Amino acid sequence: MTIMHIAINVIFALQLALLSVVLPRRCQQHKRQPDKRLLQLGFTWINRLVLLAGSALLLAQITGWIVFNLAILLAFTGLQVLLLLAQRQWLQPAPILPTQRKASLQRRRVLDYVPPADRVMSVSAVLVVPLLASALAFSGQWPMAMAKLWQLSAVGLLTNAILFFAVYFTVFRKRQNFNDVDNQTTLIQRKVSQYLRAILSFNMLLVLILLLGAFQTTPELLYILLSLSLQLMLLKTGQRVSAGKLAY
Amino acid sequence: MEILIDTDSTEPIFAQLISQIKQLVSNGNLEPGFQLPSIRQLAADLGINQNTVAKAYKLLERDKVIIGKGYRGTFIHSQAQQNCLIDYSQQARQLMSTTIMQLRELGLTDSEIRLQFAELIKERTLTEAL
Repeated sequence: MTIMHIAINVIFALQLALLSVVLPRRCQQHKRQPDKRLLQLGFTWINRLVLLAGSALLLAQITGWIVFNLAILLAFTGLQVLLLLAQRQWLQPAPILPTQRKASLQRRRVLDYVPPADRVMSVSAVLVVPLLASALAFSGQWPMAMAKLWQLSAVGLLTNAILFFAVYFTVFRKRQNFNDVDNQTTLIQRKVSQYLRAILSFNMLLVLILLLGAFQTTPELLYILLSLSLQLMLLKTGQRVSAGKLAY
Repeated sequence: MEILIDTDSTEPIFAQLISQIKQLVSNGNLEPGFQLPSIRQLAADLGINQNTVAKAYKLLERDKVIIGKGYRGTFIHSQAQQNCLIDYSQQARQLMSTTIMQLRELGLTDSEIRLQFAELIKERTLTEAL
């Protein structure tokens, strides 16, 4: 077993603990969730199964029962992320609706929440991946199959589109706080800047992958980078902004 | 400029929205040409159904207090301040009282008049639905 494989196994174990134990527990520990016991129970068991399957996979790889396969690890990571996102979505406490509710008559626009500098940076970040991919393709610097390059660009574009939709959804989503219009604006601003940071980080990661690919770096290093950035990102977004006001 | 609704009030929510927007227009807080939030935004901000806001906007548009400009949004009408003073319910009361008096002169009883009104409203609703 090479040092790279040991590093991957350690990171996979870390990811398993974080995405199937620590972060799901955080989702379930919210105070206002008395009516979601069945859902909580279901997710607890699914998490246990995922943890068990992941541990089995890790053990099988360490002992050499199965051949080391990066595709399986990537698929497993995808499954864990999807499960965590589902938990964050469905275990979110329902907003308490007061009888008296205030709203501003000022029309909101997505661009009102994105400072000009951030607009330029986001657009540049989105454009840099297809531009770099095209440059690599036309200059003949891409050593792998061309399909891989375009697949990577397509995945990048799709993810960017989803993140931009998330920004739009954040601005127009149902409110959690009906009595403080100013506080609501601050919360929207904070959430939008989080998504913009995610867009920037994601595109930088894609650029890194493209550059690593161009320099023919091993895919194992890519997995380590991907998994570590993902864990850091999920850990950061998992921190509660303020207890009871914004969910996770 | 804020709007406040009370779901415990006996006054329907759409009527609360209408009266508050008219109030803001009459006070000069909402000037002609001011762009109102979209139906979706206001409904989400107040935690109410979009149809309720749509109904309020529709009635305000009928009263020429606001004007819808398609995809560009909804704006305060240029004659909004004057149009806020027009009381359509008062006009309706006057028209109906004249009609009721005429019908009574013809010899119709109150229950017959009520029945006629109910049937007419029902017929109109069915015709508009078709």
